[in-house]
Amino acid sequence: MSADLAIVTTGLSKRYGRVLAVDNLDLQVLRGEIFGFVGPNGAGKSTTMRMLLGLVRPTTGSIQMLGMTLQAHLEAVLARTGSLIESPTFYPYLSGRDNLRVVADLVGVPASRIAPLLDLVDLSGVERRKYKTYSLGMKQRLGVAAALLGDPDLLLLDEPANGLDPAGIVEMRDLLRRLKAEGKTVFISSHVLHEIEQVCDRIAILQKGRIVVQGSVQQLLSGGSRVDVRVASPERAVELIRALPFVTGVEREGDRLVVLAPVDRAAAVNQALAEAGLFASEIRPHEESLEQYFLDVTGEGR
Amino acid sequence: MGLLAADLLRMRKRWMVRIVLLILLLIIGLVLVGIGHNSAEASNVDYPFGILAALVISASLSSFLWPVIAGNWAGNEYGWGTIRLTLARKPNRIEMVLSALISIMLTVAVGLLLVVVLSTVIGVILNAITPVTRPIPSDLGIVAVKTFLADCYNGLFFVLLAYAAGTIFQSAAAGIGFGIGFGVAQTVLTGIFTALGGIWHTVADHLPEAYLTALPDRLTAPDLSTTFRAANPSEPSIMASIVGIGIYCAVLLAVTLAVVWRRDVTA
Repeated sequence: MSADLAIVTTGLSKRYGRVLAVDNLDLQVLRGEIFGFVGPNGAGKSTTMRMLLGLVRPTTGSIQMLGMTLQAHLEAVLARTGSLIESPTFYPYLSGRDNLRVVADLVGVPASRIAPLLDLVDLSGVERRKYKTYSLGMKQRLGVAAALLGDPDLLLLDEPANGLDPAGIVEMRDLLRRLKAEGKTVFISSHVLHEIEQVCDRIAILQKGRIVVQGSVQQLLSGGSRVDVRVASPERAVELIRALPFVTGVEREGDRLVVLAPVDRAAAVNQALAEAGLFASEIRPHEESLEQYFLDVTGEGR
Repeated sequence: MGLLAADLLRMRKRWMVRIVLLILLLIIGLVLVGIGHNSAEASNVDYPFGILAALVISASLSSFLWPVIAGNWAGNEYGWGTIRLTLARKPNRIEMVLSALISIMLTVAVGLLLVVVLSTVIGVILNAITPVTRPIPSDLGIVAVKTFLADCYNGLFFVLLAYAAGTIFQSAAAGIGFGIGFGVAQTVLTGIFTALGGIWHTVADHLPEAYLTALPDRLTAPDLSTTFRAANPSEPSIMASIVGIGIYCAVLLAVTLAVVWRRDVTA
């Protein structure tokens, strides 16, 4: 395993009876990056995260985390891993502070670390209230505090923005970026694709237990094979561009054309338009939203 | 130690635990005062005999009280999903179970110590009203310590029973229900099997209840009146009871550990 990799799964599968929840998953998460793990409901995200935490045993395959084989060094790996899996789970009869004391005892850190973390997640004023009286957003913030309590090198966060108000979401985004700046690796599973797009360096899209695509957000969204063209006479331009030998198709979206052609041929498209007396007001590599990209690759939007 | 510290913190903060202990003390207090007012039985609750009487009564309450704590403890970990909180940080599942059982047994021991204190107070007050006339055996202190340990041992069986049920069914209600229900079912079955005779009688003689009842009875027999105890000359010996309860506890612990060890945590 390369020293640059925080998580590597090889041929990871999990079968529950007849259901193959995770199918031959090869995942690579680099150290120090924010990695997004996205997929429709039932795609196998939670099962994968549970396998990464040793809660669920893989049927086949192996997991390497922080340079160690998970199965052989589970305790050592988890000592350096903070996690928030699905909805935060705490003891309802304990206060927020006492729940963090429980976690502090488990991870072996002094209780003095609790107060700064409560400040960080903005729960200082309500720390003595019972957990069961917390709102969803407060529970979520307590979950993040618990994940950070052991000052982990690797964070596994499932839907960290769930239940947060807009200001909380912005704070969460800033927190994740700050953690990255501190050199920590953050692995996020989320349905909020806009957030994933904003904070993640790389993503993997999971569908029916398999990785459909894995790569840098920038690279995936630019596509590398589409060019956006905005031109005054789109009808004429469509005919002209379609005739170009390197163009495999043209889609019209209002006054904008999405040209299926290598991005490095954008200049040639521009030249062909200019020679025909059509001047593009805009020509640039096509950029999709992660949402659109997700729908395209998973077929969920059809 | 981290696991145990976390478990003990949770145990200290849990109202359910305090209520169970309060119920135990309330019942013991009421029974001792009631016996104290019965002239035929009053000598059983005078200090220091009252300590033994209180511990014998506590043993008979084991099947109703300790399953509440143990079943709740095990089942709620799955019901609340807090087992993830623990295992995602301390993944040794055997340690997790043992830490929980130690915490619960420490609570049982604290409850029984409170029973000893309460029975001492009540016994001293009753002595002041009617001074004790029975000679106090020289080994009564040792018998009291042994009975205290026997109560803890009996408690361990019901703790393990409810903890196993709560874990297997991943439900606090199942843990409590199975723990308490098993005690009731045993009493009924013992009656039926004994009446049927033959092989069934032999089976009844080896049900956990036979050993659980015999242990405190045998230990306190010389010091409490026969009307107070369930006097049964055919009941197992102290050593047979220790071994019998030990075997049942070992089986319950093994089943619990096997289930926890193999299970995928999907709660």
